[in-house]
Amino acid sequence: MLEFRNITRSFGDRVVLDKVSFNINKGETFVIVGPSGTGKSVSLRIMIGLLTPDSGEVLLNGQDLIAMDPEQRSAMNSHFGVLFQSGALLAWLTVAQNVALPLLERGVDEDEAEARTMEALRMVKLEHACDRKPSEISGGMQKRAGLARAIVTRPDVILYDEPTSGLDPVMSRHIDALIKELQQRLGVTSVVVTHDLHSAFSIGDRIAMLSDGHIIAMGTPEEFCASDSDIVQGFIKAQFSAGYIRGIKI
Amino acid sequence: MRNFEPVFLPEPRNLFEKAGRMVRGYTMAAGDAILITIEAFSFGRRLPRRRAELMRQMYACSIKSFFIAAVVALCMGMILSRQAGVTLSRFNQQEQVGTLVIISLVRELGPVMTALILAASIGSAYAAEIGTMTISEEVSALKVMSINPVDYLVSPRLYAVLIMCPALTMFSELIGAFGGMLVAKTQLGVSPQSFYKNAILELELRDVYIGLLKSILFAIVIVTVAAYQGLTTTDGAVGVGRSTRRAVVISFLYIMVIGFFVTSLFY
Ligand SMILES: Nc1ncnc2c1ncn2[C@@H]1O[C@H](COP(=O)(O)OP(=O)(O)O)[C@@H](O)[C@H]1O
Ligand SMILES: [Mg+2]
Repeated sequence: MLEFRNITRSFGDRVVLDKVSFNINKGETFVIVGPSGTGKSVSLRIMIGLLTPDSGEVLLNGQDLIAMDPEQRSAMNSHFGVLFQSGALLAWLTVAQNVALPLLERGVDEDEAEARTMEALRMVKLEHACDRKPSEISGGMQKRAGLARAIVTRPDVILYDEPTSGLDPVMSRHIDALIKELQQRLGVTSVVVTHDLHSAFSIGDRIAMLSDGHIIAMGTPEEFCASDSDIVQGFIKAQFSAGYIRGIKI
Repeated sequence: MRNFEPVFLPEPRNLFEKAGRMVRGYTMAAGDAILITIEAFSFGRRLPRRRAELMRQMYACSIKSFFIAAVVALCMGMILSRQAGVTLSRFNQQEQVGTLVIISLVRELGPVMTALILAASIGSAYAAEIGTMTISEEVSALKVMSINPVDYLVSPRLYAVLIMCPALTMFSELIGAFGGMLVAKTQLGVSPQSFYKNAILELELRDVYIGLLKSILFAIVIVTVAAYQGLTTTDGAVGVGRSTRRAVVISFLYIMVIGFFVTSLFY
C-alpha cells in the first residue's frame, strides 16, 4: 500500500538514507526501529511530504507522491494521520478544539465535528480532559490528544513518531495497547517509528531496522530476532538483558 | 504549502565565492519572504472565518504595545518641544513650536517610532511564537492536516498589524502632540490654543496620508520578516533566539530604509 523505492536523502555530506526500499502492506503495523539519529524521523517526514528525498519514489496505492504537483499532493494528505513526537498540539486551543481543528478546517459542520471529536477523544480515553489546555495535561495525555487529532479525520494510514519516547514505562505500555486497539477497531495501516523495542515487539506485524542509511533487517518479530546481523543483535541485547519475548528466545 | 529545507553547499573556496553565497542567500530569503507576503494577503479572503483569531491578534497587539507606545510618544513630544523651543525662542518664534513638533511627529517620528516599538514587541513575539511552533513540529502538524501555516498563522497576524499599526501611529501622534503642548505651556509660555492652531494651519491632509502609508508599509515589513524568520527556524531553542533577534534587527533596518525612500519620494 505504501512503498519506499530507492529513497536517498542527504544533509550536506551526511547521507542519512541511502537507497532505502520497503513496502508496507494494507492493514499491517510496520515498525521502523534504530538508534537515535539514524534517519527514522527523516523517513517519516519523507512519507508525509514534509521533506523531499534527493531521489527515489514514495508510492501510495501505486501513485508516486513525490512526482505530484503541490495541489494533488496536498489532497493526498487526507490519507494520513500523524502523531508527532511531542504531540504538536496548538497551545492556545483546548484539547477538544485541537482535535476538532482538522475537521473544521475541512468545512465539516460544527455539530458533526463535535460528535466526531468526542468519539475520537473517547477512543483515546481523554473525554474528561477535553476542556483543558495542552500545557495543563501530562505528556502521555498530550500524545493521546495528538492521536485523537490524527484519527479524527479517519485516515487510511496512521504514522507515529516515537509514540513512547519521554513517557514512563506504564504509560508507554498503555500507548502500545492503544495503538493496537485502534489498529483493530479502525483497520488502518500503521507505521511506527521508534527506538523502543518493547513497543516494537508488542505492536509490530513487521519490524525493519535502519542503520547507517540502510535497512539491515526486516521481517516479522520472529524473523527480526533471528537476524544474524551483529548490529541487530546488539540493539536487541541492549534493551533486553535475557529471556523471552513473545515466546521467542533471544 | 512550501517546506523550507536547509540548503547545503560546499565550503566557499575564495572571497568571491563567499560574497556570491551571501548575495544568493539574501536574495533567496527576500524572495521567500515576498512570496509569504503575497500568500498572506491572498488568504485575506478567508479572514471572515478567522474573525476570532484576528480579534485575538489585534487585542494582543494593542495590549503588548499600547503602554510603551504612549510613554515613548509622550517623552518624544516633550523632548521635541523643549529642543525646538530653545532654538525658536532665540528668534522669538516660540509660537511656532507646535507646528514643528506636530509636523515632525505626523510626517516622520510617529510612524517610525510606532513601527520600531511594534517590531520590538510584536515582531519579536511573532518570530518566537512561530519559531517555537516550527521546531516543536506544530507547523508540520498543520501542513499534514492540509492547513497552510501562512493562512492559519501569518494571515491573521498580518491583517491585525495592518489595522493596529496605523491606529497606534495616530494614537502616538496625539499623545506626542499632547506632551509637546505640556512643555510648550509650562516652559515656553505658549498657550495650548496657539500651539495647536499654528500646527493645524500648517499641517496638510497629505502629511497624514503619507504618514499612514508609511505605517502600512512598516506593518507589512514587521509581520513578513517575523513570519519568515519563524517559519525557517531550525536548531531548537538556540534557533528560536536567533530568529527572534534577526526579526528585530532586520525589521529595524527595513523600517529606516523604507522610511527614507518614502520621504524622498513625496517631499
Ligand atoms: N533539517 C535537517 N538539517 C540537517 N540535518 C538534519 C535535518 N534533519 C535531520 N538531519 C540529520 O539527519 C539525521 C537523522 O535524523 P532523524 O531522522 O531525526 O533521526 P531519528 O532516527 O532519531 O529520528 C540526524 O543525524 C540529523 O543530523
Ligand atoms: Mg526522531
